[in-house]
Amino acid sequence: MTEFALETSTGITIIILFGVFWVAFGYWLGRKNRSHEDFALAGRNVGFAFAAATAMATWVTSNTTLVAPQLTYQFGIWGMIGYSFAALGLILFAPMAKRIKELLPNGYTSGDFVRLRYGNLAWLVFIIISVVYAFGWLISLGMAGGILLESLSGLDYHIGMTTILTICVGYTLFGGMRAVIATDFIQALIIIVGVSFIAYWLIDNVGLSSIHSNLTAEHPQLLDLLFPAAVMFLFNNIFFGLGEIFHSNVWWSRALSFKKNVAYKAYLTGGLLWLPIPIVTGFIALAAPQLGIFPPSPDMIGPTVAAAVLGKAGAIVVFIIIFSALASSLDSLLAATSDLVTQDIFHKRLKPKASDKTLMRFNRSCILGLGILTWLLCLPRIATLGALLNFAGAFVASTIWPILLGLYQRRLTGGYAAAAMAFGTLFGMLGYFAIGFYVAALTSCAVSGLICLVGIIRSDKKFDWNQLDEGEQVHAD
Amino acid sequence: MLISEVAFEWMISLALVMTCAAPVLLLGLFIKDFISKTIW
Amino acid sequence: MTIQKNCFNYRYILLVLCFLSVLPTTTLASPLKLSGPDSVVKEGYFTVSVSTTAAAELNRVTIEVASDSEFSENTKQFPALGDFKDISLTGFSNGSYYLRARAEDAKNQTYLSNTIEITVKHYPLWQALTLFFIGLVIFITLVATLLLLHRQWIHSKHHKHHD
Repeated sequence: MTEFALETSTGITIIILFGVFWVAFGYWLGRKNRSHEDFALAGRNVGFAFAAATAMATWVTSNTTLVAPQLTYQFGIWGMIGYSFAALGLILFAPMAKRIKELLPNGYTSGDFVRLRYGNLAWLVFIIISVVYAFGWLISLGMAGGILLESLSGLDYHIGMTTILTICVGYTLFGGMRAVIATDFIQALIIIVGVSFIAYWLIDNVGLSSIHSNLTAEHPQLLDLLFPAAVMFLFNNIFFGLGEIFHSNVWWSRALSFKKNVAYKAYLTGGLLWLPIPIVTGFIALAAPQLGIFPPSPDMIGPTVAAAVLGKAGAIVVFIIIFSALASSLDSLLAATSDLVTQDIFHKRLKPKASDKTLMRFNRSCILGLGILTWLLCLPRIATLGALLNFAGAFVASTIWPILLGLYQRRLTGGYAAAAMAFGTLFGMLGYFAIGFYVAALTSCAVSGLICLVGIIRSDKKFDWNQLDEGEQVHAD
Repeated sequence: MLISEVAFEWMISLALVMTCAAPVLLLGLFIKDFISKTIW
Repeated sequence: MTIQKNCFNYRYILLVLCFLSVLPTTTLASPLKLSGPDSVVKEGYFTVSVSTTAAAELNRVTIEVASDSEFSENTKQFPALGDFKDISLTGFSNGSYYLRARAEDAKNQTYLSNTIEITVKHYPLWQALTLFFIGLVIFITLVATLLLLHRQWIHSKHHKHHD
């Protein structure tokens, strides 16, 4: 007889209320969408407030609310500090976002850029990496949704996962990018307020010094600044974060949808706002030993502690926070991935003369298709969240150097960029299996960087930046 | 080498204060955008 | 004849059944079984799971950890959450640890499980620091490259405007 923090009916009620609200809100925002550009990039005119909030909220994922406490529970102090360094991804992307907005005034996706800058071979490698990563993330989010509902309210994993996916697909389908960004703003506020509330409650009732003295006595390893496994994990995690942000169309399509001159400060602000959040969520896990809470699996520590100490009200808060965190990333990923498929594969490869209306219809079916595919892949509960994501680190970190150099440096050619991404990924995977998860992204980034360096030294070509601007090629009806 | 209690307390408190400042900042920016009609 | 044969078969099956039912009771004195990681733990955290062979439901599963097999030194207790049978433990320093599970049935009778030994041996610090510094060097190179290239671009943009 497991006692769940929430009654199953309460959990379902919250989900349905939020679901109806988000979908209606998405529908209301979607009325403004006149063209595919409106739908996919919110008219390329998003202001500073929404831009900063969406950058922050999208980066607050199931990772921040579930995996940050998990890593803190396992690695202690370095788990949460290391996790918060993932904000560097957003901060370093800020200058690049400004550059992207200027280089590709009419661009749609990161795939667009790679194809125009590096050619077809590099594009193919890049698309494979993007798709593997996008699905890894989509599945981990879908699974997190199911696991969350089950651990808090006892609702069956499959029902919970299906509901969350349906809601996110629903409002993204109706509202496009506008709905994604506007819901992100509200979800960002909910997440921050909720997380601060739980952390404040813990400090007020349990006390920081008592947590510190308990850990010193019972689990000193968690306060150790020279915890070997945690020290090893630190930079790997940073490169993983950089790779995720630099390559993913989630961040490129945001940069392209922001108003001119907003992209730089929006990413910088978003990163700074995000920085303290993993410390606050991770801290929740450090209180667990003192409270006598030892979860069945480490990824459940955050929700379990919050629900256990705050009772029913706390469980509702946790439930809403994690639901918002999941939704704010799931919607962005659905929208950005279907943009990538619509623009890079359908529009550029299959139907170059497709009308605006056809593109919009295709984009919508894509969102739906991605949702269904994710649902199918989430049906079996494969791995714990962390394990699944660490595997993707080898893939994304290989894109860091090719993207960075491709944006600013004219000498790196497509062949070397493709080799850097392919061999970076390969060696990252080898490292993952031969040594451990904490070297996957590091190896991948190092190998790809070396290949890029050779490429720059050996190349005598200079890329013409004007080749990037394809102009507006959409055929109106 | 364990983290000292003072450093631990400061780190958590600072993170919490920064987190609390975020919604105020975001709402302020939103109102500013709303008044100047630059939300979208 | 046929009846006799049937009787013989029946007895034979019964004998086998008796033998089978005797087997587990001789090897397992307790209805509780604790299992944990087989290899050396390098990160200081691990998950142990408790399984029961008894038909009766056992409650209040607790894991006891000590630094000796008699459970007389540094004994710590870690209660399981709800009726979950898996427990994640964390924050262990280098050393050998002895673990066993304790549980109660509905009549408040206490059962103890088998004892398992878990060895925690963290990665050597030099190895961790080597990786740390390799990461640091790559990271600094990356940030420097980005800032340098971005500044060059901003400069050239301003020059173009002035021309």
